[in-house]
Amino acid sequence: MKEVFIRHVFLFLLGFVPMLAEAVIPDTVYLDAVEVKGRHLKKASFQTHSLDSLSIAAYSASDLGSLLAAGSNVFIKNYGPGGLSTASFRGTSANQTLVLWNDIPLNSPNLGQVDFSMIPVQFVDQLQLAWGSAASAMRSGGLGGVVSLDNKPDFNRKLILDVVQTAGSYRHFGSYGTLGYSGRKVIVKTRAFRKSALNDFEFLNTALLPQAMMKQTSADYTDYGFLQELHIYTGKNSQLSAYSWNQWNNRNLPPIMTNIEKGGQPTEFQYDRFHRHMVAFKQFWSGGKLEAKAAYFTENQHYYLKTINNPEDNETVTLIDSRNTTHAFHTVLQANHQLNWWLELTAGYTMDQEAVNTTNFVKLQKRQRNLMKLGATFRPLQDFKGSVYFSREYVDGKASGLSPALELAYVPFDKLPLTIGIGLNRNLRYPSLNDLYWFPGGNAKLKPEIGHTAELFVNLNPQNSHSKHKVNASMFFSDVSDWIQWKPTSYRYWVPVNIARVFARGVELNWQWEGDFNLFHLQASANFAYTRTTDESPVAKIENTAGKQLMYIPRHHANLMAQLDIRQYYVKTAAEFVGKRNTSLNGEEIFINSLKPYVLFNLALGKSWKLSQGKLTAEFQVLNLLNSHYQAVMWRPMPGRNFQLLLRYAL
Amino acid sequence: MMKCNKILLMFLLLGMASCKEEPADITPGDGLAVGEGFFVLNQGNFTLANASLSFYSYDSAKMSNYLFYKANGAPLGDVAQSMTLWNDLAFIVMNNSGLIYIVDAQTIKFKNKISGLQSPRYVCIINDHKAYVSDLQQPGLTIIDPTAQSITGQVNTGKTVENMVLTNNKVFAANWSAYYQQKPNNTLMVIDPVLDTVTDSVQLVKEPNSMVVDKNGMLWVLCSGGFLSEERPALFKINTSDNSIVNRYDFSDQLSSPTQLVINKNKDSLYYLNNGVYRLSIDDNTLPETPLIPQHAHVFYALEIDPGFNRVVVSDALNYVQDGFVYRYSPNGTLIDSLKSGIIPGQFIFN
Repeated sequence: MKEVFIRHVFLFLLGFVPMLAEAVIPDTVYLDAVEVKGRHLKKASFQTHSLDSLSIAAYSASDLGSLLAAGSNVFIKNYGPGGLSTASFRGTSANQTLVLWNDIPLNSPNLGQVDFSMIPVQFVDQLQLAWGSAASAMRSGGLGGVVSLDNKPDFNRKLILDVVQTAGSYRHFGSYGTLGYSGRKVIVKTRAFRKSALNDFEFLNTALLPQAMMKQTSADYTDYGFLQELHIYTGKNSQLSAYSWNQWNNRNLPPIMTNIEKGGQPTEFQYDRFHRHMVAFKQFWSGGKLEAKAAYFTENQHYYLKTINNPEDNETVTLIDSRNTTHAFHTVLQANHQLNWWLELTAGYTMDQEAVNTTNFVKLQKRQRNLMKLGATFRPLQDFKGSVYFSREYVDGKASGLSPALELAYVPFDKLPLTIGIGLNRNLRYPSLNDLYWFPGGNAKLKPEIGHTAELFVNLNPQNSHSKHKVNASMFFSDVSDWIQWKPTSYRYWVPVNIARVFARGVELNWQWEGDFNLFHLQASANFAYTRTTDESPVAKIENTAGKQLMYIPRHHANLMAQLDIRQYYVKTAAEFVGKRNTSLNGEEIFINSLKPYVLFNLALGKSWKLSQGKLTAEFQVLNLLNSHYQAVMWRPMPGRNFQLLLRYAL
Repeated sequence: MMKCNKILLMFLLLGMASCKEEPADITPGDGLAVGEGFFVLNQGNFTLANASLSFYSYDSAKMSNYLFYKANGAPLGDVAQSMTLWNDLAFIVMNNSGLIYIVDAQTIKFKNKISGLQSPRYVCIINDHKAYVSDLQQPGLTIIDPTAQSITGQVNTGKTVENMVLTNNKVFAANWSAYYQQKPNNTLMVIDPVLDTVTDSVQLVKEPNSMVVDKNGMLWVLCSGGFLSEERPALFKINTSDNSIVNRYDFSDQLSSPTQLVINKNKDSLYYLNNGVYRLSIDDNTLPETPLIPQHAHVFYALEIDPGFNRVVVSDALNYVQDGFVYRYSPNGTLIDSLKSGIIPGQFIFN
């Protein structure tokens, strides 16, 4: 056994085979690797939504933004392939979406948001979405919601090898690989990827006269990185984990469609590098556990823009060379204990120290945040559950108000797997360091945004011998006061102020279905969201914008994913509908005020071969099958119908 | 299974419905006939390319918006900086698109474009075959032929230029911008439009932003004092014969930022914005202390004096992300009417 282990470690140290990944949906999905939190009355404290293993496997060679757009109610605003991709929940802004990796926040301290195009799905084992009370109970900041990414150690799987290679239109290449060893007490695993594309797709430029077919330029990107993991059982009931996530993202920034003929031969790019290291310790005992985590994150962002006079003398006309460096140290302590059959207690403490050094601030800026929380989940009856959490945050020693979160759930019928519930909470989001210290205009007197949310939900999980369903429906009302907006001033630069009061409300539906019919196995999930988000502040009423849907928040959003397996063959589809989005606060129905609805439809056909060791899968994908001409962000062209080939080998 | 097929079919049908080219909601007609009135050039937001062109017709007493799109089926572009009428044409300078659209001034139909510019700002017509184009980034002027509608040369100024005025056979060019350059932005250059060379430079105060010529041939230059209010704003009166400063009017509040200097038809009254509309006679020795039209809750952005009626026309950018308003006031400051235009109404052009 020891020899086998050493041999495997040696193979691992030999290094890394370029691999690939995405989207193979193997005919065997490791359901045991996905822990579905929530939805079971007797387990989770708050209702959350976990993306099923089908969705995660289907997008394992893609980025998190693409996965969420296709498989959740989260709205993704995407600037194009390889470009910025931000997420918003339930009609809120991208800054109000909190992203956690193993309970540590990934949101940039200076920007406040996360670029989802820079998170490879391959690095995620478990993806959980939380909003309302559940989001508030996790941490402060997720006024819209929380995207929680976790790495789950899976012991005793022996040699782990999974390589994927993709190649597609516009010189797209992706290599994704996972190599490691999983023993009874130790896991050593490396995940790595490299992806690139020229993105020189053709599009009809309707934004420049005379209209003509053009090729996208300066949209190429190259991203690579690796995630190293080590998990050790240090005792019968204790586990030590270490993570190191390192990534390099290089992207050129293309001009918008109206600016393609701009002079000066602009060179514009953005490089992002980040290194995220974490150690985590877990101690279990009968009825409880203690977790302690410490993490150090550092990020460097380099934005560069240069134009020249003319190609002959190459004299620089414009030069912007902006560099930002952030350092963050995070600590998490949390414990929970089942006190008796009906009561479970939870306590937690987090500390985040942030420092940002940028040419856009007058000096280095630091901030320390401490958050304490206390919670209880009680089940006085078999068919009733309640959870209540209280948290208080201290920012640079100054305390915020108490943020409570409450959820009650009830199973009213014995024979019908129906759960109804209600959630109420208060949550805070502190301004980003850019909001506070950007020069000129940063406003150090900004207050945190305060959100109050109420939610009603219904879960139904019927199943029979052939199929099982999960249906979730929820209705939410969210009131965010002191919403931060940058406003023009008489000094000519813009200043952020706590001015808006945004009221978001809507309905969300989620349906998951899985069934077997003779030789067929069908798995599908669908989401629909209706969201109304309006600014109801006195200023908005004066400006006549009250009651108007906020920009880039669609009222209607829906998606569908399905996979049909027939022996070793499979076919899978993904469709997304995005409704009209306002691009200004004007009411007039004209092109520059709103973007048209669109539907994206992807189709893939694949086959798997079982080998003596492992399995080989080949898949052919048609993306944007209907060749829709659409814009996700105004005047940012998107590719039409295109193709991708995927090969995967997994032990 | 059946239900699933229906859902797939629904998505398929929705997708087919969305496959039309965009934009397709307006079919360009044979053009418009704008008649008499004034244009409003709406800048739009930087990088959002939502600039637009409006026209107020004296006949109908109504504002028509989105004229360029309605005439051509395409957006105007990214930041409409200025528009210059010449003969039957309008030269619309699209700052962040790096081009100048040339359209028929009556129908707004696309005629031609001059592209490849870096960050163009204003056009100053010299004659039928020469015009200067200033640039926010490029340290010089681009020479174009307005008849041939092509680039013909460059004027080397050594730093960037903003507004230009042709008077007394000279072009006075304001060095307004401190962006993208280290050189002082407090000068007024004098350019020989025949030789295309800089012949003189007058030091003023930071950010000379707007200029007019009065009935006596004097050039008035308004300086806002700098982006961070580094200097006290000032208004200068300059003799265009010898380029000397005849008079200087300092603003009392260094944090103020006066802009949009304009003049009436008789060229004897000056107007500018400074948290309100102010007026002074060209013979006054001091700046006015009270505004002709207080700003109140408005965000006054552009200003012009209607040459036909001496009415004060001023725009309100509101919150800069929704359509702004144009207010017309009588010469004594009484509101006549208000009209909705486009996002950030930045210039009025009377035809």
